[in-house]
Amino acid sequence: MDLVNLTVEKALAQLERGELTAEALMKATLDRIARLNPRLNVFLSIDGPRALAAARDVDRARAVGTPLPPLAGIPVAVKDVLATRAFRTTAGSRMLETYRPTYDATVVQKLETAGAIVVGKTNCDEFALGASGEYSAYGPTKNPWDQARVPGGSSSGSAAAVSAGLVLAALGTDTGGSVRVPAAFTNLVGLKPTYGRVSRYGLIASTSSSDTVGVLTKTVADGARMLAVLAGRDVRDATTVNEPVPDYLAALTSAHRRFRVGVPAEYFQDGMDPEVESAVRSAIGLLGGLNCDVVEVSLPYTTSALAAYYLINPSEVSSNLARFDGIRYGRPDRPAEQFKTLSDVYAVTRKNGFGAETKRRILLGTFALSRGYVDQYYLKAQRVRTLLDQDFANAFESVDVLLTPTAPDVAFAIGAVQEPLTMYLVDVNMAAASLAGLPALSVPCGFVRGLPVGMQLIGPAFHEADLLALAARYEAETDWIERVPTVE
Amino acid sequence: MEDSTYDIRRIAELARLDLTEAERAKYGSQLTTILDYVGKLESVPTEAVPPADHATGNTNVTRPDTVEPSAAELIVRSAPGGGFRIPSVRSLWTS
Repeated sequence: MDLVNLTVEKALAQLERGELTAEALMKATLDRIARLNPRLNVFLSIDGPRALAAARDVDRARAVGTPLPPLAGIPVAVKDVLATRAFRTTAGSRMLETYRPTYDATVVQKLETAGAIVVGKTNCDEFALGASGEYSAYGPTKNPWDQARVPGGSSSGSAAAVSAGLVLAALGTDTGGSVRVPAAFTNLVGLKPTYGRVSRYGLIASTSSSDTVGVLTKTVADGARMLAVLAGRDVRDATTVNEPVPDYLAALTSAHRRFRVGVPAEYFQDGMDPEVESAVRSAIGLLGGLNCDVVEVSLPYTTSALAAYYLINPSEVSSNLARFDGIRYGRPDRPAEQFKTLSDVYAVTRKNGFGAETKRRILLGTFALSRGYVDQYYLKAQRVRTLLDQDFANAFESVDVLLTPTAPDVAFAIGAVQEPLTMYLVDVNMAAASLAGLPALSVPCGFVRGLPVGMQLIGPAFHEADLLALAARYEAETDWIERVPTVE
Repeated sequence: MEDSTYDIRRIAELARLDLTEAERAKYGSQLTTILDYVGKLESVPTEAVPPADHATGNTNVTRPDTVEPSAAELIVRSAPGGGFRIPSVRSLWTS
């Protein structure tokens, strides 16, 4: 069975026509995972028997003519920052090595209600803090396109899982690029929805004001199917919005619609890889001939976005990670009652449970929020955030969608980036859309030196349908998605 | 803007992070580099720009005041020994 070339859409069609059973699909999936996971380090937890049992249930239901939900029998993976009752949830950290949630995240419930089968939990940068996957406490995930390279982060495992044909779709999270960058590095479609479009209930919080649950798939249509299942208001997440969910699949066929596409100059930095720039500019050129008006625009505050993000993110992280104290979550190295003071319980637990990047962010955030500094750092960044909002609002008065490179380079070698700031710069084109809460999509647009390149579409809030439509139009005219990595 | 050097011991104490001497040196220097980078925001004019008050336009999202099942019991049951034994809270100010 060719899992690497199989999409959610094709699998559903084959299952429906009886050419494939869910059990056979799941067996092939589990076999491939068993063979490749040791090398790629994608999954932190797997439950084969549970997945197989669920697959057999789907086949039985189909055999007796029970109407089946939209993703019935589809093997999926979930980034290990989302709570699952059936699997431990580590957030890629030693702190939560044995943590078993007592509930499922809303998005996990929605996937399972839709019939998808969660095969396992994927590796990620610790607490979703990173751009390469190298900050995971469980070792880096390898890029299926070149195992000496990173798949991008922080949704490293989810991206590798889909691009290596281990599952057909995966959930990631995108706080400052963590779905889009891995998508660009692994030739996938990576969707970051509007903040408030998809519930965060059950997501271990990183930056509460920009965290989103996103999706990694091989095609735009698969992404639309996943978003259709995940989108919607959730009473358990007060930041979800009562915005109607459009028919994302129907929106894909929009050949008649003329899109005004804005290309912001600020997203093409001097330091970016010239071949990557060239690939993105070719894509822009192609779109110009596909019922689109392409215009240059300017979003002047873009050059401040990353700095604002790396003040706001650590500040919120420092607050959100205060709960990891050895009592509420995490365990110190010996029973808490054996410590003389509570402070010692906290200090030892956090010293042993957190990795370097996590500690750095907590320190930076604690400082940025501290008395005497909060105005010039955290609040200043929040003011700049308002300017970023205005940049987008201004742009969207004259264009429907913005088009930028996703990352300034292709996937780099594991170990190549040692400086924290250099790692942050991978997200240079990601931060503004995250801070503004806007939907964004990375779609494959070429190869440079054998490695995938992605371009980013950004739209106004709740305009995911437009992004998917334009991306589908581009995808139909190109064949980047037909290239797959050789992983054996 | 004030001098961005900072007391890393004090910050680590606030964050309840026990750092080694080597970590203080390493993180201290890395944070200085990062703070230099984010310090570029100082030159962005933001007088009369309010801090972002985000993001969705929602205000006062409420639900009916009805009793719903709570996960509290499940969580307590997941504690080793059926509870969480910790040093006295008084240890925070008497030690």
